[in-house]
Amino acid sequence: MMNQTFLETRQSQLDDLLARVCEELQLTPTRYDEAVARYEAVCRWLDVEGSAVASYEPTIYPQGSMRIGTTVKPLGREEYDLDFVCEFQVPASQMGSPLDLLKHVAHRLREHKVYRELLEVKNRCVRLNYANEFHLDILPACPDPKSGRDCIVVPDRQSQAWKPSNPRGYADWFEDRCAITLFVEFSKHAFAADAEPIPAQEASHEKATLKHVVQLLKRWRDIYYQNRCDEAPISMVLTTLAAQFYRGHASASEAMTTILTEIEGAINTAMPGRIYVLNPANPSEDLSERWDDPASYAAFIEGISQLCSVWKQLTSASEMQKSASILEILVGEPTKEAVKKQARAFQAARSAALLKTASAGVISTTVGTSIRPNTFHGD
Amino acid sequence: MATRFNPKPRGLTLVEQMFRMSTLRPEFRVTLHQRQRSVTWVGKIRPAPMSNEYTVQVELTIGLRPKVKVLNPELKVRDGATCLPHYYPEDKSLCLHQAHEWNSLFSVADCIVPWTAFWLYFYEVWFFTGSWEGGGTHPVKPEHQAA
Repeated sequence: MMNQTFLETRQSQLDDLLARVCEELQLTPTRYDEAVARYEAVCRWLDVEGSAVASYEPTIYPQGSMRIGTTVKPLGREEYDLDFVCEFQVPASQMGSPLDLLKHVAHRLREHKVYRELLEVKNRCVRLNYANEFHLDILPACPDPKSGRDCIVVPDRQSQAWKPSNPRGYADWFEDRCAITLFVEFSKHAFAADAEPIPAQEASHEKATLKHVVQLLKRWRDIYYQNRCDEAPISMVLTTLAAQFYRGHASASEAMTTILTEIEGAINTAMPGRIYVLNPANPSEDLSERWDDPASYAAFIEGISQLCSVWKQLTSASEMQKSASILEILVGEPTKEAVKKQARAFQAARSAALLKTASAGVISTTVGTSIRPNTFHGD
Repeated sequence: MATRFNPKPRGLTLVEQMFRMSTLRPEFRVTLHQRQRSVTWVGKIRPAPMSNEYTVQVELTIGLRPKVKVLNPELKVRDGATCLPHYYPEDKSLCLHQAHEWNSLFSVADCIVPWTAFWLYFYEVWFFTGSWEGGGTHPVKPEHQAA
């Protein structure tokens, strides 16, 4: 993150800015730890001896953005939505009605004097509202080994039925998308340069690129569809599209450009029909089922086409003022903080006399002669 | 011989400054005037890859601090602010350094030009965010001119 090479090219400076925007958007490490502590406490409460659900041996694990590291600060409120699966080691067939599962969890949580006050039963989950922190959504689930490894079923209150799901399989697929494309990219280099095996931190850096793109897409979605949330593409759709079309670029801006071009291409290819975004961990699940409604699909196409054109402006603008303003249209208020933090990194490099001026007079961290210290004076 | 050595170093001559500038920033146009007591350079600076390109004028008169003015694009005061930070409105020049940080032994090309690039970078950040991240000091009297 604090890579000083952001000074070298437009792309590296933009990537650094995007990474800083993403850092502003995601859960802070402190909040993350709090969330983990909270969900572990919930798990202990459910599992403790004497609990009505303890005999089901519940295990809790994160799913969605919390699991794959793509959390995004919600617009206009403080609370992040963090999803956890509470999986009971009981086959769904032994549970009677799917709603029993939700009832069991809700009932047990109501026995706790704090959880009682925070609890809200939703369509597929029990929510604990931690004001100004996060919503912990606990999705009770039963294993569904017949459908495949890590498959589960979750109760759906509206339809009073079980819905198939596979959050762990999805997360594994997502992480694989990073790793597999990275491997391809590196193996190309391997032929050319007899490269060393990929170092671990390189791999995690590469993974972060796709996660950054997903965070940026989700944030753009939140802003663009702010006044018509029901038309907004869901996070799973955006995440899956981005991961499918990710080609292993280390640069977030390059990765975004490629992904957007591919999405536009897929939309055109599917015309006059729509594109289908299937759950890679369960291809019988159409994540994009909402697009059966033509208005909803039209809203997606319109949004993507706007994003593509604004993104082109961002990557080609040659004025800081313009670039920053465009970025602010796309991702909102974290832009100012990101610009400030980049400037602080620049200032830190300057204070540490790391900045140099090269023969062409360009400021650099790598080549040229060191610059004498100066202190801006005057009002 | 040793007794005649003068320990007080002399400053760089305008010709030496011009030579250094033509080496480091050959694209800067140079004009020597006033019976060779002052020189101006006009050239372009892009402080960071995403930044605007600015046309700046650096004026050096023997015995005075170098003056830097931004010719194009015009510097603007952001909404809500009354003036530019670290700027002398009287002669529209930038406040790049404290008095002791510059002396005539230093070359304009090595100090003043990169300092100007720093200033412009922080100006852009200030214009967008309202926050001057480049550090610095403020004089007691705003109308100070010494440097």
